[in-house]
Amino acid sequence: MTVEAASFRGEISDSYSAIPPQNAIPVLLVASEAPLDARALTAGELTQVAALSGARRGALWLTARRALRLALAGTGRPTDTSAYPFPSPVASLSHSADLAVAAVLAADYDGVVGVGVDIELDRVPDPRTASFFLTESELGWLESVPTDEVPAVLTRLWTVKEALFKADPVNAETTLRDYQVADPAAMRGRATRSGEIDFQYVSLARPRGVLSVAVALSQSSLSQSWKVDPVQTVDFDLMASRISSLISVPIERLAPDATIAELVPDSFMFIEVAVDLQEEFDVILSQHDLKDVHTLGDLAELLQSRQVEQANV
Amino acid sequence: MNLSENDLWLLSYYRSSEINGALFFGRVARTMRPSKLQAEVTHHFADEAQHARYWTECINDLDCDPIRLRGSYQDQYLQAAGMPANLMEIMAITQVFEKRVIGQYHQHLKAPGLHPRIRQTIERIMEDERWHIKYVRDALTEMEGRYGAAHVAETVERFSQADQEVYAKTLAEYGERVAFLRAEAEAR
Repeated sequence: MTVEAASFRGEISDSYSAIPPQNAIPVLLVASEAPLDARALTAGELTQVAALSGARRGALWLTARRALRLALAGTGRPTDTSAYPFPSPVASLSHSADLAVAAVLAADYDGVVGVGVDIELDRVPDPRTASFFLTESELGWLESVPTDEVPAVLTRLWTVKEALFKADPVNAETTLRDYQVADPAAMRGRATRSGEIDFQYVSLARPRGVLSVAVALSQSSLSQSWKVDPVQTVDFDLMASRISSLISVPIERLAPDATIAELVPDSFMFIEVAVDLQEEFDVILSQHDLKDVHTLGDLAELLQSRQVEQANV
Repeated sequence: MNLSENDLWLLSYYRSSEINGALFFGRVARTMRPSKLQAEVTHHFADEAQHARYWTECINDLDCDPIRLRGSYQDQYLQAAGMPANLMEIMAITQVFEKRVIGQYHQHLKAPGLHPRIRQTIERIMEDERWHIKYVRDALTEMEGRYGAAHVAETVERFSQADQEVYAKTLAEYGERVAFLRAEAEAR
């Protein structure tokens, strides 16, 4: 599963036709440099903007809300932006200079619990601040980066960390150093917060800077319940059919007196066969059991007797 | 060339062991029923393949090509410990092996004059290795109900003993190639 920032546009168009790769989580990105018309604000939005102090903050807020409205409309979601408190499971906002960017999940995904976006334009973090947002291993990796590439790398990693922080649904007490990127060199990949929550992110180079988008994945999406196939009762033909497909030997050659050592000379392959049969027939075999097994007939008898014994425990 | 002959051999050995690990877990993953553990083993399989890639890139970045080695630590390991016969034994051998890998990489990080590119590769891999140990430990705990806690503990102990034997043999066999590791072991 990856996050796919499939679209980046200054203004939304009538159609959203990006086709994400299989298993990707598409996120619509919309940028705006113009403010939302104050006359179009909903009651909730009017309350929020009234609480802001200063004309500059108000203008930035309106620009960000315009981007968010467009992104929400583009993904078919309700467009009252005051209904999306942050951190949000479906939307995120960022601005740099006079540009605002909104990121909205293109559709609902069971496993996604947060979205984050961050953009930096015309700004580079002071290298001395790296220790405040990079982990020890990321700092170690940074030492191997050529000096002239460090500013761009730091800016990118800053946006990644900010995007991870915004995507984290429980970020109230976290710092940017709590987020560990699996591969600091990668423009897309996975990250984690102290082994508690997993993320996917992607960074996109922009003409004057860089933008990163992250999604947080729920633990339940990683440990979902699994549909269990029914356990089969051992019979020789079924066993032979499974072995035939595993070792690519025609089933006609798999008679009860066929010797295992000849059929499966590779010991790794034998482990594969043994585990497959135990999984299929829901039995446990030990090294000791397998020592006395020489032919396929022996193996079928052993599986049958173990299945009966273990069913009676 | 930025690597000594011994360093190139060792990094290639790591690479070969990661490839063999990927092949092993790939084969295990495809035999398992759909389950959380199967998803984790598949993840593990992908991690090992990535680690092999990281070593290839690291060696290339240091202006060398990996040496083609067929053997790996796992081969000697399975010879000494015997082939695992069921999933619990596979998890037990994996736990012991992963601990050895983390210990080995940890010692390598302490090697004097370690090249930053090698350090970066090891640290990147160790992030995954910590998760491997955690999921395997959790799987073994869960298996105690089915296999018996005492039997699980005995199996881990059996593989631990084999591991110590193989590691000592490896240090003896590869002599100067891993001299810095032997110095570490003797210093303890």
